[in-house]
Amino acid sequence: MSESFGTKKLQELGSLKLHLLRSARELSIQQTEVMQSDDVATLLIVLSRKSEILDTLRTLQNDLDLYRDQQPEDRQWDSVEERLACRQTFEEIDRLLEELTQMDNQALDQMTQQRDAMASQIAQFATAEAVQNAYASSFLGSDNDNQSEVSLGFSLEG
Amino acid sequence: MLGSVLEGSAIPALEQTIQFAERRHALLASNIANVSTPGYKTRDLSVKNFQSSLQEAIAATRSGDQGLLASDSSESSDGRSGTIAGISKSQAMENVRESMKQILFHDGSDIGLETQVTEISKNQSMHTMAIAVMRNQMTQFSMAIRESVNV
Repeated sequence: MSESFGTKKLQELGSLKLHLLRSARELSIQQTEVMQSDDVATLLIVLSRKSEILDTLRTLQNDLDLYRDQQPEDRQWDSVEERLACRQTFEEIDRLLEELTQMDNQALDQMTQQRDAMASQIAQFATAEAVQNAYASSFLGSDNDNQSEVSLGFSLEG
Repeated sequence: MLGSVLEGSAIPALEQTIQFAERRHALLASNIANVSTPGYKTRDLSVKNFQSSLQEAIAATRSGDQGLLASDSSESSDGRSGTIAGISKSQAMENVRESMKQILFHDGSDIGLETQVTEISKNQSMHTMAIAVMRNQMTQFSMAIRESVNV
């Protein structure tokens, strides 16, 4: 593999990676929208599409391993413009990765909050049910009644 | 015992009222939280149903004071066993509890509270699953950042 081919391959991999990350970004935007509508079923579909992209990205990362340990100045480029274009691609990749990480971090926080709110809601229901049943059984348990007058905030009289 | 002390007071009725208020509050809070959610249907508990059920329960209890409900096996002068207007005391309190379980959707359909809790639990499991996938994706993005190539 010549150095020239190496840099061409690097450009190609960079372009593919950029394309994948742009697709992932679109899905992250969709993910945020779906989360706002609290539609978890659709969210899982969006996440699964994103996982497919990330699987491809993983494979691509392996191909890029070859270039990671190289010194940038040791590579031979066909032209300065070519190198500049490739550099811009990888800068855009880094920027997109930062953005995606931030978006996903926020989404994860939001999702965790939603889940915790639900857990607390379920616990609240369970406690209310237990207290209600406890009072109901004590109220209904005895046959000898000596009820007092009841005064509530709203009218109970017919 | 404590049960018989409590049942001889307004506490059970108040308890039902507090329970009702709590549940209604949760639903109304949920309505407020979702006020800007497209397609969200507001929900409420029927105050009218609850009040009439509680009224019946209290009436049944008072009748017990007057000897009509001395015991479940007792018979009143008109031959009814522990009932008022055809409703037993236990049935009356059951009606109060049932009135709290019916959520009124403002599109006219009703769904029981237990169904709601089941749905919430199901939803929570899906949230947990989604969180696990999202964490995994975050890790992959972070890894991709660390593995950047200098050009």
